[in-house]
Amino acid sequence: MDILNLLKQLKNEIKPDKDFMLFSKQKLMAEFNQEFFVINNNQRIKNVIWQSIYSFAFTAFVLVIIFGAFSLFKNTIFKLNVLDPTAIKAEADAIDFQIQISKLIYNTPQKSNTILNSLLNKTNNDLSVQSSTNDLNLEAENILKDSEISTGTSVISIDEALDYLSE
Amino acid sequence: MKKFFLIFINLILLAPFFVFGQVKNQNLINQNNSECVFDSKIEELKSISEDQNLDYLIRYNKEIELRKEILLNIFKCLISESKNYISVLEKMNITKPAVVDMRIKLINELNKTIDYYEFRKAQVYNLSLDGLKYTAKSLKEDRESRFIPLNQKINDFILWNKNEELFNTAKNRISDVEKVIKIFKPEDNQEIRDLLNDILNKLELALNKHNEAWNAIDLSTDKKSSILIQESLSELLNVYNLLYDLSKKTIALMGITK
Repeated sequence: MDILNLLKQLKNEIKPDKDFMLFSKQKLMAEFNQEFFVINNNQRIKNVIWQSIYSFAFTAFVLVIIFGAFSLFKNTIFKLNVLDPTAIKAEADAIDFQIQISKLIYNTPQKSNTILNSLLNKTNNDLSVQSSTNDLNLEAENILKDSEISTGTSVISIDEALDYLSE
Repeated sequence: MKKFFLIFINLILLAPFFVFGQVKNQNLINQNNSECVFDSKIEELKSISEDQNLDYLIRYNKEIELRKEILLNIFKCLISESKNYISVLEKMNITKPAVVDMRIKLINELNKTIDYYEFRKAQVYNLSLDGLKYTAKSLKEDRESRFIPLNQKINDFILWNKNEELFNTAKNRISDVEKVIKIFKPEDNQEIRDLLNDILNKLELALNKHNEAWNAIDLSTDKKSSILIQESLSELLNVYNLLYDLSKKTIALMGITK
């Protein structure tokens, strides 16, 4: 019990030597970079923060320049294929095909329903493969034939049948 | 082993979709098969009504039976035609709001048309000879005033939308060609510059006709939409002929070889 009381007394009384404390602090500070650990120096923290912001901004700017240049490059060099004559001709052939189909529909309106069906069953890929106007005319003819097969070759139209039935 | 088992299960699960897809297409093509063919029945009706050797009552009943059959087939043919149009319209890939609205309007009109046909068809079974003749006559008149113009409008609408795809492709290509030419500066060449200007002017002309065709469909203006649709396509084809020349000349100038 004496020991305990003695320890309690000593707890409040034992303190480090102030001079030695300063000495050891200086030695420690000399080992490390003082600026990192001077947390009370607000000016230094502000510098660090601004430096971080500037470096992020600069990096972002450089990245934007790089990507911008790359997309410009991509849009110009890589888009040279827009001048490909084969692709242009394929698109022209698709237009010619559409002209044939519209003529078919307007000239044989009673078959328009089934012509449109046959047209829908042909995918766009089929049309772009066509290489000549002759092929396209043939394709359009085939569509008309398909429509005839599906309706049967009815010579008498609905309106002619109705005319006869009205008499 | 487990992998093969899983693939096998997937095939079994996916197979019905492929089968149904095929069947659906076939149905679209074949649905008009027997109903829309009237030749043989009309010929039969003609020969029955002209056959004086037949007993009057037998001839009368046979005639009514045939007239009913033909009229019913006509209604069935018209109903399947309208349903087919609805199916075609629903399949179209449309984004522009005005065009979407028009599609809804056309589908509503087609549904009303189907209701009309179903109603008249249901009445056919109980009609007398005079009733059958009157039904045929009024159906013909209604077709001329309402249903045939509606079908024409739908044909125009479908063709115009297909043209719209072609025009969008053309606009994108010509815009890209313009950019590429500007960067590589063969536009210093007078011929290239003139060709490009010609293309741009002709494209504008074709687009104007295309837009006029839409107005004709939407507002039923005086100028026929079918004429405008065909004219706009011809103009667009001219644009592509020039574009083809331009591409050849530009490639030659830039010294690009395949």
